[in-house]
Amino acid sequence: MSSPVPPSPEPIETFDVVVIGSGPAGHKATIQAAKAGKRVLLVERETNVGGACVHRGTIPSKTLRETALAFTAFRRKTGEVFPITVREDLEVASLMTRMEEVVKAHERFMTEQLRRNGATKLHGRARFLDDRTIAVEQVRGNVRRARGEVIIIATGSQPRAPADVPIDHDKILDSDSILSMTWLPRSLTVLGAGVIASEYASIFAALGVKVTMIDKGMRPLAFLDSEIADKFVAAFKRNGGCYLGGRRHVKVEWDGIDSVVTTLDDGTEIRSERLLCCLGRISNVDDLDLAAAGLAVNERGLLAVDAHCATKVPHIYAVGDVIGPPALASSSMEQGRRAVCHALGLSLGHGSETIPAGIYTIPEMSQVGLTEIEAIKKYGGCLVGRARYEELARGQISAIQDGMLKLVADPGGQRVLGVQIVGEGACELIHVGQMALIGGSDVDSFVDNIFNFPTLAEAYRVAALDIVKQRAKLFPNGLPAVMPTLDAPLKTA
Amino acid sequence: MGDSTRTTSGGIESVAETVARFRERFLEKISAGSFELPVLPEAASRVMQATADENCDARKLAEMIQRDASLAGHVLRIANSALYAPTTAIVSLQQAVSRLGMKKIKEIALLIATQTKVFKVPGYDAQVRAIFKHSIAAAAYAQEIARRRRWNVEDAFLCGLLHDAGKPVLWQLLADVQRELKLGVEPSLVEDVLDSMHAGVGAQLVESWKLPERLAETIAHHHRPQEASNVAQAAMMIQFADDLAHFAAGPREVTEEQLRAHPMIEPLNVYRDELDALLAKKQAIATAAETLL
Repeated sequence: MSSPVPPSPEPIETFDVVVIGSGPAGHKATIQAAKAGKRVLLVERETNVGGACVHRGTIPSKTLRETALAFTAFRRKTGEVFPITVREDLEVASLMTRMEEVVKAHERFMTEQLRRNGATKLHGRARFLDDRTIAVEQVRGNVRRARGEVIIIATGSQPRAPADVPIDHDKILDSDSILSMTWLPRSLTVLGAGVIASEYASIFAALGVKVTMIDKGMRPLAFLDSEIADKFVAAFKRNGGCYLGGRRHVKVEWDGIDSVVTTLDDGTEIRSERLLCCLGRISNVDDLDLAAAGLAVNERGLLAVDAHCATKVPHIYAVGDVIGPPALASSSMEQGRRAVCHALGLSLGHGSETIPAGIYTIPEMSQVGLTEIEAIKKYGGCLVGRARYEELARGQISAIQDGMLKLVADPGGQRVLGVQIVGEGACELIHVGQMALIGGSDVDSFVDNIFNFPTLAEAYRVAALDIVKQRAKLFPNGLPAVMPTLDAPLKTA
Repeated sequence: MGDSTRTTSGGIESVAETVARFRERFLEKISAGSFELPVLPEAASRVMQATADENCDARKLAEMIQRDASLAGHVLRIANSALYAPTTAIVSLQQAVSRLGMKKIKEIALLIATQTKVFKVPGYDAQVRAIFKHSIAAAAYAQEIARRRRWNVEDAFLCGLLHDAGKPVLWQLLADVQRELKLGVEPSLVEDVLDSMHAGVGAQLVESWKLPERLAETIAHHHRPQEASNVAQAAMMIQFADDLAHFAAGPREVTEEQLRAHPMIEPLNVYRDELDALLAKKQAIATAAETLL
């Protein structure tokens, strides 16, 4: 793949830390190292910083989602008094008029932060020459070399292109090209049922596109609590979506006229104007020549790292999507920070291992800590409190459907182990539960303290009361001692 | 102009006056927007043939339309016209086909073949064919660049296909005015007019078909992308695709060296291996452009 680099007349530039890739993980690592007073080089192959998060998916898709959400919320909250439908000639671009502003603002902010902290940015593609030196090929072909005492790989990932899906980024698209569509298709087939697939499927369904999701799993988002996922599927169906689980495609083909034809293993044939392929992502490592640094990807195509994000070459770290799940912007940033702190011997602070997952489907979903199944596996049982949005004044006022919060507690019904939420505001609401987990709060603290009224956060209270009620039935003669297996001391309200 | 002087009702007219009269008439026609994209006679007959067949292969007809700048342009024009009174503004060929259905597309194709002005400018036949061929190559290259950059592929294709649509229009207009005023026009003047006006006229044409403004803007700026504030990226892409198309399918000679030093390489972030991949498509794209004509 790589050809030998001709001896460059320019001397090798030296840095304390070299970061490859400027997405959330690389950007955060760069800032962290620069703030520690180190000489930092940030290499980015694209013209602008930010990576896929800013330019391809995360932020652009949320902008489209916001429009879809406003549209559906307007209909719902006004009691469907105003007859609005999405015009057929709607151009996708017109739904994202704010996108350019949003992206530019974010990018400007990131660039400014790099400048303020004195990091050096180099536009080009990095490749290892040895475990401390990289060659950076610039767009015109000239090569610059840099040496870093510490090197951080944050090159991210890209959509996987299965050999049997002829992605042309025109009629058959992936998650990098889906938002480049000119006009809103009448129908869309989505292959896959992971986070990205579910987000786009539900956004387009909310915009009136007839969406069909196809996946081998019987329900989307396998890692989610099943009750939460079922609520999502119900909402998706109400918006005209169709979920075909337990099936996979055997053939995808453009008919040359007006449809993409997807044939499934059970013989079903689905015709749609466009198809979106979301069957996993692969790490961006092809250009790196990892072998020159003594590194290789594992059987899953990922770079293996330890708890500090260090690879088997101790001064080379890997962070973000390139090391695999959870591959969230939030966790990637934290990995970037941790890698730098470890490399430079800085204190990490008191962060916890608890990472919430936010899924921007319509309705949105979020979870933190253990799910019901995980709790049963770990503690042999659990008590689960449920709050449905319909039971909340705020839920009624805002006419929110399909909202639910699940509070998972230990078998004695005292300590909070996890929270799962589906419904408007889920990704924000989850942080209340996250702080309870981190602080080791007990279930009763949600009952004994006062929340704003009317709010969705009241769901915590309703769910906690549900647990208290079950607990009273189960333990009429007083509560058992807190499970000895639960490590940290319990803080009671 | 041909003759140095001419007799008019008012007496003897100087060369300058003749030129002025010609220019005035020509500009009048341009500003009236009373022009249309001429269709190549062979394209018209191909469509006639295809649609006359009861079992007309929809796929073939769709492809035919996709690959001919004038057919594509007219399909979009008619699809957006009062005749079909679309509830949907048609913004791409694909959308035209899927919204109107093949039956209507067939009708439209027949309409174009029978009613559109067939290109007939003695002495310019070869040039016009070369431009149509060049347009297919530019569309293919624009599509390729858009795919790599994950930009809109349909827009890229259409802009590539129509970026020089102003040229045949101008040739036809020049010929019409010449006939009308019984004048001869020097080839160098034709070149000047074409160079300076084809982008603007092409944009006007696309606008008159009610296509999205960004397409017209891209076409208007394909030789000066830095001035296209809203569509700079697309205009840069078309300028690069334009030169790549000249390299692959002519008519202007563009060398590999010129492309490697192309000013659009940096703004479009085309790395060496990506450029190599684009250059390697030369033969395939040249052949595809050739087969149509």
